[in-house]
Amino acid sequence: MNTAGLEKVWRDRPADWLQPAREKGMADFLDTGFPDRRSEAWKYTDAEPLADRSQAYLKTTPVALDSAQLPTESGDSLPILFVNGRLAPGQMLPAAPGLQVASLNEAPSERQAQILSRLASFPGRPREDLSALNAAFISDGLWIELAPDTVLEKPIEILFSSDGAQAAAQPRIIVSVGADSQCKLIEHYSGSGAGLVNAVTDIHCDHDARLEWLKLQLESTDSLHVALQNLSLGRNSRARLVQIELGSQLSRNDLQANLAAPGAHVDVYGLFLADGQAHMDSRLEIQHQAPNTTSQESYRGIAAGQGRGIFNGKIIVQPGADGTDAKLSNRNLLLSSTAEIDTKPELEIYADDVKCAHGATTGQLDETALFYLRSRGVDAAQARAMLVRAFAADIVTQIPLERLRQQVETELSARLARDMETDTP
Amino acid sequence: MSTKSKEVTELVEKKYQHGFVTDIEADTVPPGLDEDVVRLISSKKGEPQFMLDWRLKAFRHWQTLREPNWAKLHHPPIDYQDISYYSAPGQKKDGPKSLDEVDPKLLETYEKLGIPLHERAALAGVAVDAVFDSVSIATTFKDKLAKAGVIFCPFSEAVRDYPELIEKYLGTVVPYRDNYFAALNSAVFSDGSFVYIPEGVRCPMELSTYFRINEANTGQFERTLIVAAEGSHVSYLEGCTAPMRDENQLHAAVVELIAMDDAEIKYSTVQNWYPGDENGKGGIYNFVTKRGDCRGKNSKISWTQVEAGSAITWKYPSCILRGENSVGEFYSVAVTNNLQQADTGTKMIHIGRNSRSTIVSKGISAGRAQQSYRGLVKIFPSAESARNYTQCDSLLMGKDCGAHTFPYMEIKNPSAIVEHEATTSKIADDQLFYCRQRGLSEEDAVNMIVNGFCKEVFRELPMEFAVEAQNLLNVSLEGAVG
Repeated sequence: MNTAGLEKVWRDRPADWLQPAREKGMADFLDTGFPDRRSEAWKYTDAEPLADRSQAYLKTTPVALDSAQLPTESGDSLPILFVNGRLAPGQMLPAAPGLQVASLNEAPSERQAQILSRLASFPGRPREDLSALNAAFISDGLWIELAPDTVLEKPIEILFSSDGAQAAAQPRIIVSVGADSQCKLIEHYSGSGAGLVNAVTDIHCDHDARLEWLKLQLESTDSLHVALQNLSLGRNSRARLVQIELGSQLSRNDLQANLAAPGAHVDVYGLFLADGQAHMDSRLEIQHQAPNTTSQESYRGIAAGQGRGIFNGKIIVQPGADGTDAKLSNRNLLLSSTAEIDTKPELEIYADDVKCAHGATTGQLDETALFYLRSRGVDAAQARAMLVRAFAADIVTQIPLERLRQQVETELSARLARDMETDTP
Repeated sequence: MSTKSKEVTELVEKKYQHGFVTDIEADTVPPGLDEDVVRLISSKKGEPQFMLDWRLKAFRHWQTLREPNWAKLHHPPIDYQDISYYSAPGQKKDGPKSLDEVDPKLLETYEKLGIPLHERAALAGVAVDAVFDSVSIATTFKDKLAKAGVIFCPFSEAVRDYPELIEKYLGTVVPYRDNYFAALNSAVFSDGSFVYIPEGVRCPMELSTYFRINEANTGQFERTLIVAAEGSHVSYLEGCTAPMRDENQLHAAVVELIAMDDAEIKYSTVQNWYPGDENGKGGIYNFVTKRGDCRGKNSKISWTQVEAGSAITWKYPSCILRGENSVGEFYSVAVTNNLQQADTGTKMIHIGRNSRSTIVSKGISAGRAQQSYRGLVKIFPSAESARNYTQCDSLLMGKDCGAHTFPYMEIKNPSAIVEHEATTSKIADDQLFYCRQRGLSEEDAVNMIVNGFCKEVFRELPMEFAVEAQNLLNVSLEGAVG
C-alpha cells in the first residue's frame, strides 16, 4: 500500500510538543505500512478501506465545530466531549480531589515529559495494529491521573462524536490509576456520516487499584472504526472491562490486558452485533505475566443480515506465571444464511502449574425455546428477537451505568426487530 | 520432590529404542535435487509417461514455492540439495516375490522393531506393507486380499499394474500445488502403498504399513492412496521408526483417502520416528500432508493418530466432507518431550448437508517441548445442519514446556452448530496423592493418569495398536512429573 502520500501530509503538518512521539510513530508506521491479509492478525479483515480513508482524511486536520452541543453533567457521570477527535471548544475538564485531567493539545508543560514517556513506551505492534499511525497523527486526547487512595464515585464518560465531516479522529487516552484507587472510565463513540476513528487507550493500574472500563461503540453505519486498548495491571489490582460494539461499517477492536504482577485479576465482557453490511472484528489478548494472576473472559457475537463477525481471543501464560487461572468463553449466534462468524480462541501456555480453558460455540436459536414462545402466541420475528436479546443480556447487564444499559437495550431491540423482519427464514 | 527429579532424570536419559542401523547394501542416489533426479527416480521405477509428466509439473511448481513459516516451529533451514532423494535396499533386480526372498537382515530389522512379519501377520491377521527407506519391501497376505478383490500393493507396483486407477485418483485430494511439502513429495516420492477396496467389500483384515528410514542423509517421501468404492470398508494402520543419527532427516509424506457413497475408511497412525536426543540433536523432521475426501453420501473417514516421535511434527490430517451425511473424525494423542516440537491438528471442511465431524485432540508436553494444536472447522453455506464438536486438552509436565491451541472456526451457515472446548493443566497434586496413598508408585500413578487422559483416543485404535500406543506413552513419559 502506498504510504508516500501520508508521509508528505505528515511532513507538512506544523510541529507541536508531541513531535518526538509523532516522529517515532511515523517511522514505525512507514516501516510496515498498513497491515495486509498476510498478517495473521488481519486474516479476516481487509485494512484497505482504512488505508484509503486515512489517505483521504488525514490531509486535513480535524476541526471541532464551535456549535457542538456540550454535554450537561447529567448527574451520573463526568462527561468530556470530543468532536472529530478533538476536545470540543469550551469543554470544561472534570475536577475532583485526587483527579487530574488534561487535554493532550493543551497539556501543561510540566506534564509533557510524563506524557511523552508514556507515548514512547506504548507497546504497539506495527504489523498488527494502527497505534503507530495514531501516534503520528494524534488529533487530541486526554491525560487522566488518579492519585493513590482516591475513590472517584462518578465515571468519567468520554464522548467521541463525529459530526459528519470527513475527519480522521486519532484520539489518544492515557490513564494512570494510583495505588488503592478506584475509578470508572467510559469511552462512548457515536456520530453521523462517514467518519474515521483510530483510537488508542493506554491504562496503567497501580497495585490494589480497581478499574471499571466500558467501551460503547454506536457509530453510524458509514463510519470506519479502529480502536486499541492496552491495559497494565499491578499487584492485586482488579479490572472489569466491558466492550459493546454495535455501530460502524467496519470496526476493529484490539483489547489487550497485561496481568503484570501477582494477584492481578481481570474480567472481560464483550458483545457485538454485526448486521446489515457490518464487518466487526474483535480481538482480545490476555497476558498472564506474573504468578497467581486470574482472568475470566466472556464474549458474545451476533451476526445477521450480511454481517460478518470475527472474534479472536488469546490467553497467553508467560514462563513463570504459575498459578494462573484463565477461562474464556465465546458464544456466537448466526442468524442469516448470508452472515458469517469466524472465531478463533487461542491458548499459548509456557508454564505448567496453570488452569486454562476456553470454549467457543456458534449456532442458531434454540428451536424448543422458539416453539415455546410461539405456542404462547408470540409471533416468529418477535420471538426470535426476544431470544436474541436474552442471549445478549448476559453482557448488557454488565454495563456499569443504568442510563447506558438502557440505551444499549433500546438500540438492540430496534435493530433486532428490523433484522428479524428481514432475516426470518 | 527428590523422587520426582530422579524420575525426570531417568526420563530424560531414556534412550530411543528403535535407534539401530541395519547394515545392508543400498542403492542410493547422491544428494541433490534437479529435474534429472526426478527423471531418474521415475525411470528407476519404470513409470509410465503420465507419472513422469506429473512429477515434473510438481517439481517445477515446487521451485516457485517458499517453505511455509506460519507454524509454531523453529528449526535451522533445511538444505534440500543436501538430501538424497532415493535410497533402495540393494536387492535382486525384480524385487521379492515372497517373504522368503526378502533380505534376512531386513526381516531382522523388523524383528527388532517388534514387527515380525510372519507371526504378526498370522496372529493378528494384519497384512503388512513395509516401506524401508523409500522402497516397499514386502507385502504380506496378498493372495488372501486378492480373493476379496482388494488391491493392496506398493505404490510403484500399482503404477505399473493399475495405471488407470492411479491416473484417475492420484493428486485429486492433495494436488501437487497444495503446499510446499506436498509439491516436493509429488516430485520425488519413491514409494508408498496403494489400496483399492471394490464396491461393497469389507476388507477381510486390517491393512498395515511400516515405514523406516535407514540410510543416512536420505529423505523419505512416500505416498499413500486409499480408494474405498461404494459401500466398502477398510481399516488401515501405519507405523514409523528410524535410526538414531546426529543429523536431521526429512520425511515428507502425502496420504490421500477417497471414500465414495456409504464407504468408510479408518486410518490409524502410530508415529515413532527418532525424536532426537535430549539436547535436540538429530531427529526426523516430519512434514506430512494427510487428507481424506468424503466424496460420497454417508461416507466416513476417521483419522486416529498417536504422535510420539520426530524432532518436528507438522501434520494436519483433514477431511473434506463433500457428501451428504458424511462424517469426519480426528482422534489424536501427541506426546512431546525434551526439545521436540509438534504443530498438529486437523481441518474439517463441511460442504455437504448434514455433514458431521468430531475432533478429540490430547496433547502432552514435557521437558522443554513445545506443542500446538492448530485446527480449522469451516462450514460452507451449502452445509445445511452441519455439526462439529471439538475438544482439545493439553497436559503439561515440567515448567519449561509449552502447549498452545489455535482453533479456527469459520461458519457461513446459520443452521450449523459448532462447538469447541479446550483445557490446559498439569497433573494435579491431589490426583497423584490419591493414587500414591492407594499404594501406586509415582510412576504408575502418572502412567495411569496419562492413560486415562488419552483414553478417548486409544479407544479408537485397533486393539493391537492400542497396546503399542499405551506402552509407547509409558516409555515416553515415565515419571515426567515436575
